[in-house]
Amino acid sequence: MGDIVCNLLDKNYRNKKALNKLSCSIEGEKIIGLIGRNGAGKSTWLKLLAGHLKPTDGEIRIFGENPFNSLKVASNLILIEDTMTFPPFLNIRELLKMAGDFYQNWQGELAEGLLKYADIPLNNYHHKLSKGQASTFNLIYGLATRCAITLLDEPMNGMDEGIRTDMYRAILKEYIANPRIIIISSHHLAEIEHLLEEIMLIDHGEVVLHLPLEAVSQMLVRIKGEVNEVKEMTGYQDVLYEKQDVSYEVIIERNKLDETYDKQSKTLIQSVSATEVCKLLTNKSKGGIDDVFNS
Amino acid sequence: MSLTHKTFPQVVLTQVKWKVMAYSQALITLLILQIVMYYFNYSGSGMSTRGNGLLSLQTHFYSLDGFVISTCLWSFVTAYLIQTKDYRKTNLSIVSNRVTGNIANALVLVFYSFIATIIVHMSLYILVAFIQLVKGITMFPDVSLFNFLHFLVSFCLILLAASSGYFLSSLFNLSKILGGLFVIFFGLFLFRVFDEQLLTIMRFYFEAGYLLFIVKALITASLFFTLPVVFLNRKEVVRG
Amino acid sequence: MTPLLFMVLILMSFLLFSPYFAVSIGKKLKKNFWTVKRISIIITGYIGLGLIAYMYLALSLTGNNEYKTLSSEEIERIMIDENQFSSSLSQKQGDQFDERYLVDEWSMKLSSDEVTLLRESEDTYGRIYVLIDWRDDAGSNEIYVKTYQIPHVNRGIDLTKEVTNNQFEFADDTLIVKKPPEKQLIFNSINPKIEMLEWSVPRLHSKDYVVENSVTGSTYLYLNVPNHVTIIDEGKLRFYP
Repeated sequence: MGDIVCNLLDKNYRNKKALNKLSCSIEGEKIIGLIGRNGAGKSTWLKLLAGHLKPTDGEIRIFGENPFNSLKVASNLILIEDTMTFPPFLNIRELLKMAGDFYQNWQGELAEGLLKYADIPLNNYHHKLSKGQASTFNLIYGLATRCAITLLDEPMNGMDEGIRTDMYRAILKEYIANPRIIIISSHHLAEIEHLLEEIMLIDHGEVVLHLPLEAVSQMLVRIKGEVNEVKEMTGYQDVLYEKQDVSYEVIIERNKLDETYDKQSKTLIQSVSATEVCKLLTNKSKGGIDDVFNS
Repeated sequence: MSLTHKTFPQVVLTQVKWKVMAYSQALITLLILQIVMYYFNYSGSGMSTRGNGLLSLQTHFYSLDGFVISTCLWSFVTAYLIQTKDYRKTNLSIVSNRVTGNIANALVLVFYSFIATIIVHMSLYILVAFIQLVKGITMFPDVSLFNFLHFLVSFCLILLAASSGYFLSSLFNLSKILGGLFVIFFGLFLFRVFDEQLLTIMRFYFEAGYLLFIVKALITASLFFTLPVVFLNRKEVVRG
Repeated sequence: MTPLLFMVLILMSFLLFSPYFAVSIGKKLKKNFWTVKRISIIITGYIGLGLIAYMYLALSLTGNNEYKTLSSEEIERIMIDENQFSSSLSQKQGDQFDERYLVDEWSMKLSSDEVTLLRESEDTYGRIYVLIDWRDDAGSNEIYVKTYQIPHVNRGIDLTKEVTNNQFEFADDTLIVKKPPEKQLIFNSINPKIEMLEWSVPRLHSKDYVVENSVTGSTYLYLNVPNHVTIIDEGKLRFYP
């Protein structure tokens, strides 16, 4: 029994399929990166977990309960997104006080400290903050609630470079101080990679990949060299990516590689970064955008 | 990772506490509306004459009518706004589900209606005291300066307006078509045969006297407040 | 549904929403003016002002001695008293009459053995009753009169003194109930009620309705007449219990 269990989850918007038989199970405290392209269904899935939406079909269990209309889930889960709104007539200080009333593990001092660090005055109003400031506030709010499940949907949207790094550090520190399930969605894996323990890749509403980070970065290899040699090496299998200019270059799953092949050839074997893995696994064609120009 | 637990009433009460604060600017609107109503009531709410051959009495009276009617419109609009999407979205940033959110909203509106009833009475006193000072005339109370029965009746009227605004807004929340149809239907019902239908409604509420009116109004209001809880319980609320 | 009514509705809705515009404009002009704290101060202040106004009104009423104002309990007591009064009247228990309502005591000296009761106008019918009590006193031609007046209350204002002036005149063995010119009074009243409903809601069963409206005080003339005097009641003023 996991803390989060999804079983054959479907979600349709009118006639568009946002989630397609998505199944997964998450258990124990960890930071998970939710990766996917625009429109892959990341936000929809998070909204379903938070109980904002109802699945069209399938089942979600969070702490054994359906999150839709569950108070238990509502008090132990928070979804931070950049469209978050607060009552417009309460200023930041009052919002923090309010959160303290609702969330039992609320870290008021931490939130105030972080806001002070981020130069967000406590007597300002949420709707008057700039986009980056609002995102920062939302993230701080999410961290300070110390909910057992913290969902961060594109938390760094609009933040400048400096505060971004600081905030990633804040997430990590908070996680170490109080371990919990944190799911960070992003289409920018390289930036969050250093935080993550697991990666969950979603494409077209399905889970393509759900593995520990190391496993992902070990998954694929890049082979560069003379065409025939490389093709022989890969045993003429389907490749995920191929490119031919001066040399021939393919990317293939590591376990499909013929390890017995002569090691002394000039063929170059490199490992592929997790970022690239994710990009490749969700690519439509083997050559990427180059194919469009080549044809 | 330990789970926290809050009971249903705890969550509702906390929500009421914060929503009363968060929506309090509505009360400022009410005050401005009251000041506008001073102007309309300045020369008296009405006049009655009575004679018995010996005495001919002309009474210019200052009553709650205008204040209560304007406050009813206010509470209708306020309740409508509280149940609109923008306001409902803010529920997502706190511990809430659809039931607690609705119940908290209803309780906030009951509280506001009560405050509004007090404000309505205060407006009358302020206006009359002001007139007495400025015009130098003497005001006589109609038996007493405070009438508890009419205090309750005003409260019920304001609450009734609030609950119907809340209900209508919830209906629009559920489906714009349904809400639109309801408005058109109700509009036709009222305006096509205005006198008759309005009288029917009036008669239903008032024909058996004030005390039964209070009972009927409270039942109607609680119906209008609970129906949205039922039919919005399956409704998705999203921020984006 | 007339166009006029429609116009009024539009005007009303504009008036209704204008405060919202005012507030939202104010919100933009003055940064963060309407804070929760300020709002609560303003609301409390308004209610406080209302209470001060209430106390001022209450005090100015007790200080006003042109007319007395009565509470609903007092009016109710008067109604009960009036009932008792008329029942003791019907039993001719003259000595048990409530002396609180005695407003005048005077006598008429007759020049003959006859006295005529007259009314100047039919309007006074039902407001003035004459009650006769006989006494054995052959040597006297004097009638002792006691005037009892039930208070006249209109919506809490005691108007008794307005109706008791110059009601009777005695001359040439005739007692005339006069009709003074109708008095015009203008009052300003504060009605903490929804008057609109007061007219339409039937409250015949409610005692408030009677209490809060009026007690029309009748005048009773109690005549102590020697046995040999004849009374000619031309104005049909006599009350036969």
